[in-house]
Amino acid sequence: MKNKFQQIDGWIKLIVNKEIYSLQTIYSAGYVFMDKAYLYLDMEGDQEIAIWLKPKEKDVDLNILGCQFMEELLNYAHYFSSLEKNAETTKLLLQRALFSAAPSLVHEAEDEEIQALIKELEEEEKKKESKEK
Amino acid sequence: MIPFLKEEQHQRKLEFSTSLYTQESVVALQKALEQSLNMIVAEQKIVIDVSTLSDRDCLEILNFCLYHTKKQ
Repeated sequence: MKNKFQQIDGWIKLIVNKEIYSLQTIYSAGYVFMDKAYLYLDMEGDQEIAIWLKPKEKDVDLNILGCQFMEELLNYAHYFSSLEKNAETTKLLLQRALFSAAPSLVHEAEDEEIQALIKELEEEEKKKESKEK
Repeated sequence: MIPFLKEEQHQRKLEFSTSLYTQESVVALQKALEQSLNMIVAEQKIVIDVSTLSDRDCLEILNFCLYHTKKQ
């Protein structure tokens, strides 16, 4: 099995698959670590990303630092996947909250929807007419 | 010592993959340093000549570029 943690000259190199951890996840975890480590990202082939970490403080266990980074990655991966999964529900809740605060918005939204439908029907009819000609 | 720093013919170079770092982050770096570093933008990487900089400066550059990439 390929070793995913390597220690070189005071650095620890972690290899992660970009299919599993998105760039957004890696940047966010990296941002959290900027206070305690220097970070460098590099492509490792087409599918993998190498994350190099060097602690700013002396006497830091590199393996522990690597494990902490992996935990942060998992944490952000979960956060972003939940965000995506709950996006529609969040949108509905926000809409409901806005509509209950200002009921006139409901009528405006309905009017806009009706206008869009009418426009769509008109365009379809125009297309039909042009085809018949 | 920085293991991924490329050293050839008395030149030290840092390479940033364009898949991972934005070009804007390197441009922001040039502005922040108030000095022009030789920079080559190739198809898949941006290479900066850091021969005139110390190891410590190079380390700070790494976090600076990552921060600016994330910000965008």
